[in-house]
Amino acid sequence: MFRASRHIAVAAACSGALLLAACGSDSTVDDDVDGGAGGTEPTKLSAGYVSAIDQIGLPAGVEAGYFDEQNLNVKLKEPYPTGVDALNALQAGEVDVVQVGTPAIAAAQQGIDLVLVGNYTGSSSQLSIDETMAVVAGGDSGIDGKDLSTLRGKRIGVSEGSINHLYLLGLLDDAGLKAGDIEIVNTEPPDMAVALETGGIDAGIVWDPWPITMTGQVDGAKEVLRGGGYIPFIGYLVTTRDYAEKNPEVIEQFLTARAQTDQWMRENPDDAADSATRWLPGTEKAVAQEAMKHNVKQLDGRFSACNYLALDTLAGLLAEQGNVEKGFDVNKYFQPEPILKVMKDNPDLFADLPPVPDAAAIEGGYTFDRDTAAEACPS
Amino acid sequence: MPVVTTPRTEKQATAAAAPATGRPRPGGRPPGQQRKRKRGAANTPAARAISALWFLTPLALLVVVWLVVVAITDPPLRVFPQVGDVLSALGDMWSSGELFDHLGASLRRMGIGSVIAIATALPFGIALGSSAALSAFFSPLLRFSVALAGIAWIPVATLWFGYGDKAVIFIVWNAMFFAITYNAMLGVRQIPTQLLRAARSMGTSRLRMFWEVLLPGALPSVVTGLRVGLGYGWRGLVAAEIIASNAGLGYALFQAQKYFRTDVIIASMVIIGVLWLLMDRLLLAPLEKRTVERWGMTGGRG
Repeated sequence: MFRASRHIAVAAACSGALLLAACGSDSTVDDDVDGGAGGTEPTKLSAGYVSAIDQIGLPAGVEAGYFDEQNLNVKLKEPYPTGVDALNALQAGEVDVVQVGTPAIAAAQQGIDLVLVGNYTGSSSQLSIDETMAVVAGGDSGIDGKDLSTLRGKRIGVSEGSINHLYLLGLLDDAGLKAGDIEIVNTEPPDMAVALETGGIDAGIVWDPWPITMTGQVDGAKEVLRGGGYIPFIGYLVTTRDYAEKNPEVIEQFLTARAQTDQWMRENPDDAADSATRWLPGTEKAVAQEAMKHNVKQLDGRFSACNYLALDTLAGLLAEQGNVEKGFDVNKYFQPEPILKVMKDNPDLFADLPPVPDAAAIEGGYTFDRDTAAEACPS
Repeated sequence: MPVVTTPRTEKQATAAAAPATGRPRPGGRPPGQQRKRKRGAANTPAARAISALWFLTPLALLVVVWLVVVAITDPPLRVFPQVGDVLSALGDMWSSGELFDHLGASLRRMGIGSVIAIATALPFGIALGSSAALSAFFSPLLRFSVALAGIAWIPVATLWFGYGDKAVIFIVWNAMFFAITYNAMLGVRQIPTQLLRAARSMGTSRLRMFWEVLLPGALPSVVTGLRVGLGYGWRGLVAAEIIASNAGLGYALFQAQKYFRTDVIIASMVIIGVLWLLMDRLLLAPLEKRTVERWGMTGGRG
């Protein structure tokens, strides 16, 4: 809101100044008048996001006016229900940029010519980060987050093939269990609470804000584990290769605005949560505030070798499950140059983040090597 | 006006009331001759071949259009796969055993849901058809429920039955129940009143009335209800399997969407359609032939 007030004041002042200038000279209505950065019309760009709290950076940036400051006129589409829908919209030309996580892997393999130009969530300073993931167990499930062997024999709700599923595999791996030691119940996030309430599952594994709403809705349910660094969480700013090649400056402006937004969100999580209640229908403020505490820990728009490693790791996990094809080449899809330039030109926008390890820092034209990246990125 | 003779015994009354006797209609052929000619014609290899050809031609035409359109427009695989891609996906599902897992799960749920739906809807529909008071009482509820799509019940089904087979079976039952009930009720209402009165006047028992008068009399409409109901049941099954299961054709279809596997999506759609055609051809059509058509109740078709 403070941004809106500020902009109204600035606009009023400018209007007054322009009026005085016009009256005091030979100007006519046909003369060009400075309208923004560089005196050019704002560049139009349409963007899409998924109805999820960790994707709130895009609408929050629009609301706060950061894109306007970059001379971008960003139009947002109605939030898409899933990443698959967002990618379909990108392919259909409905939007220029979308925010998408794991569905980008299958989409790329199936021929959508996409490129990853930045993160909306994740980490460029370490491999594993999963602060927005949690395990919510029923009161009498006997599942203890400190002793993951208690998962054995339990019915666990995850949406198959999603990052929830991958987080579960990470937990099982840590506990020395196999997928066959538990019963996976395919459950979509909005259905988790009902499944837990009706005894369909003993525990649900899901991203925010669902763990928070589940504990509030289901009697006796409790969050027995949060995060823990079991998997790398990924979420990218995705565009088509064609758009990125034709509009490099627009992409830079867009990433700059997103970096400004992310920093503002890290510094003002409650205000960001407030914004979420306006852009994500049905989101309660208390839930959004709680979720935002975890979300801001993963707001890192930078690229490093750690991001390549994270995508390679998750693509490998999905391939092991038979969900995507093996041999996913991450080098084909990352386009780091625009965000590297933003990082170089605006170091202050990332100054509050943990530094990227020297060995993980990359330059334009970087080629990923798994072993080197694994050594460079603390897990 | 047809001549109605008054039956003297319960057996006679039932025989007179039941439209299953094959008695000639006024001006019609003797039933024996009619049946013999039709059955003989339908059983020749040539007639069967022609019938099969008529059945398969529209489907073949669809495949040809599909082949040509995709060949001309050449869309990416993820947008619209070619026939060969879908066959290849089917082959993969077959060889991995995935196809049988999904088929087994869907058929089991469909089978259980259908049996429960038929067992509950048929007596209820016939009861509604035979009792004006009962029909008047339940009519608003019936009309209200017909308008509600089966899938609208999914959220409450999962709430009541949890996640798994029970919720899916409930959706199948729900999708079928009202269509079968409604058609059974209409079928009973179409039975000539004088036949019902004749049966009742001779003191026909309720059970015998149900089995030998009402059910056969309502059968043309009941078969229509079964056809419509099973179609609704399939739709409900596919929708319910999205959210409440780990296997089944609906599950396979929507999992494939997550990974942009349009070939698998269309393969699953083809399996669902073919299963329905087989069920209609091998189960409902013979049922209709052995009852409704055999009893001369096809309403002008025969």
